[in-house]
Amino acid sequence: MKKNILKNLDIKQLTKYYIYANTPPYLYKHFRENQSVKDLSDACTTDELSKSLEELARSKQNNLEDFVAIYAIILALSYKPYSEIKAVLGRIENYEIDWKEDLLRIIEADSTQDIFSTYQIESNPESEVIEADESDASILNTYVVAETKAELKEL
Amino acid sequence: MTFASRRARIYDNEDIKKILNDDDYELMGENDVLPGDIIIYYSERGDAEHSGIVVSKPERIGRLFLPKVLSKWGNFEEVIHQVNECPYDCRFVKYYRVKK
Repeated sequence: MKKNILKNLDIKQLTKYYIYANTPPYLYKHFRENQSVKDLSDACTTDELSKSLEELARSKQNNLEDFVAIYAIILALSYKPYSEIKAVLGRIENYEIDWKEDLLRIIEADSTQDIFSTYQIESNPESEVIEADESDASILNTYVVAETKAELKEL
Repeated sequence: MTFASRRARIYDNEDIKKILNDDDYELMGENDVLPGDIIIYYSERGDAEHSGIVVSKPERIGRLFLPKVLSKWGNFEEVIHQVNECPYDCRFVKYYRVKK
């Protein structure tokens, strides 16, 4: 199974990033930018990625390709909803993977950011139309939805 | 390689900030860079991604000042390279010198 889902990874390029990485953010950024990691995420379910990750992490990694694949799967998982991957990423703490804590922190921070940036405000037909003046701007920037002007002022 | 007498790899951004602060590093303008100064490559997000030691006075090429740098490329080798000839983003480099 491992070979099937990982066969399209751009191992050559990812290996370069892995070798040149001095810091976890560098590894995170370049693996995330690599299209084959995104494709891996799109092609597999969280469960499939999770199984492959644990399989690789449990085994004695004897070659560079396995190390690279582990990071590729972790970063492929990072495209999934955080609620789905939280438990999976929690389990990798049991394995010896360099920089795992740092990568998990970055993934968590970026996932939280995504929640805010993709937040959809649904219109409520019963709410009254309000106008915000400049003094309300800082309140509005906190993404709080107020239904009336009075409620907005209370915030 | 750059810090801790070459004996450790320091990769935490906060640790690097602390070293720069505690050891009294001073930010240098690129025109004033000299061998012995250090260079830090920052990402767009402001994370330190790479560092090295300047080994030659910058050569002016067009509007650019390009010193040669000795740096360790992750798990790869120590390399002497021009500041922009490496696998790290050189758009946000900063140079520092110990004041003392």
